[in-house]
Amino acid sequence: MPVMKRRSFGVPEMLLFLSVAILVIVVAVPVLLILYTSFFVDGHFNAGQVMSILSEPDIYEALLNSLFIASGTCIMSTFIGTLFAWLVVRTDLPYKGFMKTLFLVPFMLPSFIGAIAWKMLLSPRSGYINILLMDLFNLEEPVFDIYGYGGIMAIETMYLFPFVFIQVCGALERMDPTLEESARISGASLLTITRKITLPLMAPSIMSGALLIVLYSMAHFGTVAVLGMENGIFNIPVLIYEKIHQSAGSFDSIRAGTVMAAVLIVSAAFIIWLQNKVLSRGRYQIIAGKSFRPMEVKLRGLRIPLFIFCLAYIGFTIVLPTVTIFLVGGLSTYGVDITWENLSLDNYKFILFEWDLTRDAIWNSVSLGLGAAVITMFAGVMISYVIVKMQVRGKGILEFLGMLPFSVPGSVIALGVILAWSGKFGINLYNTVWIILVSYIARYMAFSLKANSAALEQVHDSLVEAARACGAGMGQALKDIVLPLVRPGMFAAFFLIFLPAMRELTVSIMLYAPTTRTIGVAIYTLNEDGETVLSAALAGIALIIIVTGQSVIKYFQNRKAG
Amino acid sequence: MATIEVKNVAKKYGKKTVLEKLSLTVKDGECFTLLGPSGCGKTVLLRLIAGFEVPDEGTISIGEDLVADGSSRRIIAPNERGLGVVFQDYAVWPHKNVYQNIAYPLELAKVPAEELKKRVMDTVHLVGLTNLEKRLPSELSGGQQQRVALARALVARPALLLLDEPLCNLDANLREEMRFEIKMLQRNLGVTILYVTHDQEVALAISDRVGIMDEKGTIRQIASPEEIFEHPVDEFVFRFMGVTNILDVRIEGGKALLADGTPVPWLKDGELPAEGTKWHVGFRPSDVMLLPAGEGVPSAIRRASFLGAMTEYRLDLGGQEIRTEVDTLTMHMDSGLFKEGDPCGIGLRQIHWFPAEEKEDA
Ligand SMILES: Nc1ncnc2c1ncn2[C@@H]1O[C@H](COP(=O)(O)OP(=O)(O)OP(=O)(O)O)[C@@H](O)[C@H]1O
Ligand SMILES: [Mg+2]
Repeated sequence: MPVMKRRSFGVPEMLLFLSVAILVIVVAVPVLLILYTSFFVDGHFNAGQVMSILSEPDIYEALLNSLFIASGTCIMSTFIGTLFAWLVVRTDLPYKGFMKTLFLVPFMLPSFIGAIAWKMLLSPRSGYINILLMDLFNLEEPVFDIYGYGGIMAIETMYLFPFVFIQVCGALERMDPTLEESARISGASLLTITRKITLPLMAPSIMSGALLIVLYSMAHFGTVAVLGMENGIFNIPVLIYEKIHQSAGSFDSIRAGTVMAAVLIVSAAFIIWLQNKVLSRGRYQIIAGKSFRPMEVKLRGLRIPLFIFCLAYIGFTIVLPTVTIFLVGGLSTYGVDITWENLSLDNYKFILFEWDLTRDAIWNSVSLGLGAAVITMFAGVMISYVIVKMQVRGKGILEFLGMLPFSVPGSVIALGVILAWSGKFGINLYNTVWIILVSYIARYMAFSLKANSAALEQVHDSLVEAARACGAGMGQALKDIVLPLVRPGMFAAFFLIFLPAMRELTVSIMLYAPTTRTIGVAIYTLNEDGETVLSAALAGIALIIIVTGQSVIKYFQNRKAG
Repeated sequence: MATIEVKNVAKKYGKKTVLEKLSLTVKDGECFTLLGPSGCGKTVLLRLIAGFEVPDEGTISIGEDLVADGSSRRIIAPNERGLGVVFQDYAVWPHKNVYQNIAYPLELAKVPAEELKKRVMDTVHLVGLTNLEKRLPSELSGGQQQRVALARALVARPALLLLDEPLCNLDANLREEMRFEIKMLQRNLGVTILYVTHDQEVALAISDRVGIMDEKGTIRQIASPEEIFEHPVDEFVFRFMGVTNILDVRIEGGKALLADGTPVPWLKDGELPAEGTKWHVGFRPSDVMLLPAGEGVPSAIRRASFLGAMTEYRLDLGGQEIRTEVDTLTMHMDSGLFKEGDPCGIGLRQIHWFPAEEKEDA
């Protein structure tokens, strides 16, 4: 007779324990250390000190700037994102499907590289567009100045609006057309319907996209760092970086940093909570799952002008900066005219094959990206498996911990990792690549959890049970049934981590040492040091790696679908 | 010996009690059907027997082996129970083609390649999937996937088959064919089958015994199909076995009367239940005899629907509506068809008495 097994501490509990341990070590401890360091002085709770730090002039200003830039970016992105989503889903705009893909391209492009490109185009003294306009119209003064709030918000909008766009597109596609049709039947004009029915129904999705943008913009380092320095504009992440960087680790500046990081943690938690609330309220209005063919608004006379507007937007925000990066990367010195004689591949050769600094940076980024992607992918599968599939006591803790990575901004992770891994617990990783690896794992865990749990949710429990009934043990069933079915999810997770890691800046900039620069850090520091052409060439190489990677994903996704 | 013995099993999900003190025995080699309305806990019971759930209380034995014990929460793993299971949602593996799906249990059992191939192909033919072996499940219809699931459960020739609605997605012809195949298999190979469904027709057709479960997960009656059909223990069982007429009846002075005083048109003499107002009388449409006006208890045609070979009538009987079905052709030859509004007479061949209180929980 087969042996009866008692359900007690066994494999499920082991996996749960491991998963909790990973999330605690990688995410929870850094976050807790930040909160502890900012609120406790010498082991005592001290809120007064927090207030006095927050009211220091530079910190107060950074807070206001973060809020101001986030609000401006949010308003502009929401407007643009909603407009384009509506045009692409609900009107007779030509080549809609293709246009939709194009609007998602900014997702791939790192915004700080965009900011560097726009600096080359629109900086008041040497920006190519400014010079061109001044020459053309014989102007004394430059037309544009990118170094200001307006410039920062505009650039952030260019790279963040897809978050609204993708949310609203999804909601518009799933909307129940009968709601609109019944309004139509009762005699309302299409414009009235759009205003009175469609927009209110879309409000939750628009809101949720807008909140995401506030979240990302508040915690965003690159654009403000590149464009704000000139006029002394900085936001919370930039100030955290400055404090940590300049102070050489003095406790006061670390504490100031943790207080600011705590502000980011709290606002991120609040925003995510608000977003869940907004989304759950909107859910009942939209029929999920089914795809309808909603009415198309006829644009008539506006059809071609709007199409040209969309193309111009894409040309202006995607093509122009990308081309600029590659061209400037080919120049011998920044500032010379862009002509055939002045262009060469020398910078690219130098960066790839001769200069140790950039070669190291590329090597570091590739190996860090691979390492983080592989580790996070496997950890993510295990954690998602426990969350999605297993019935085990104490799973609630893991579900809560699993939410954490989604709401912790990059600069918070970097600071927390510094606190946790600088010898406090007997391990000092400071100034090594390992500390960057740990922080990448924390930063990208959310992506891995998302991709893997989505894949696992597709694997209905009865598929495993069917294998068990056929005589397979649990391990065998996992190997034969679950693994093949979640492989695409793992693959997606790998690339969702590897590609962003290749251009990561926010975290690496706070953790790098002279020998542990990443591509992002190298581009940023070269640009700061005035090595503009080399920085552009390296940015060009980063873009090539990212676009190639993205194409590989697309190829595999299409092959799977086809 | 493939018997199943479920003893006093209870199962709760959170606060919701699905099964309470359920006992059931499936004998070796028999085809036992568990019949019950949707959501009554049939799938839960099957999952308990298969070993995917642990009972909160009670024990489950398969053959000689005690496989689950609620008091110690010990169970034998599903893969060690030697079962074939067909799941309600098919659970066909999307990444394996039809052949690979069906071959999997044999691969696990390390059946030699030659024999494996032969047995898989035999089963493929048996369930009528010939020439579809190379297809992926996404390229199959719902009914075809269901047959893959059935084939996969059959291929290893388990002594015990658990089937959860295995035929619900097939068309009438195919369902009848598969029903026949399952029955043959059980006869020829001596497989014990526990079949779970809410389709009473299948249950009556293939079962040696039928168990009727109510919404609360209580088993109301276990008996042979004939017994259940002829002698339902209560109104729930009676109603569950197909279209029925139920009338409120009172017993007064040794006579059964409807609300307005019309006598129950029961031709045979029989024992009446005790005096009182709380009685239901139940009869099937086929038990109603439609008579020319003047014979039996007077009635009138409310509605007539021609259904082809049969004609369905809704009749007025003392203010309550009853249904009957008659053979169109016989009717034609005997007395001609009734039209809506025509007066007629009614007699009943067989009736069942039920206490009226039961109605609430039925
Ligand atoms: N895992 C679970 N968690 C909570 N409740 C459950 C679970 N599984 C089943 N139930 C509940 O138990 C009850 C019985 O479910 P079950 O699936 O056994 O019904 P069924 O008789 O198979 O119905 P159907 O004929 O529709 O398949 C239902 O009310 C269901 O909601
Ligand atoms: Mg069921």
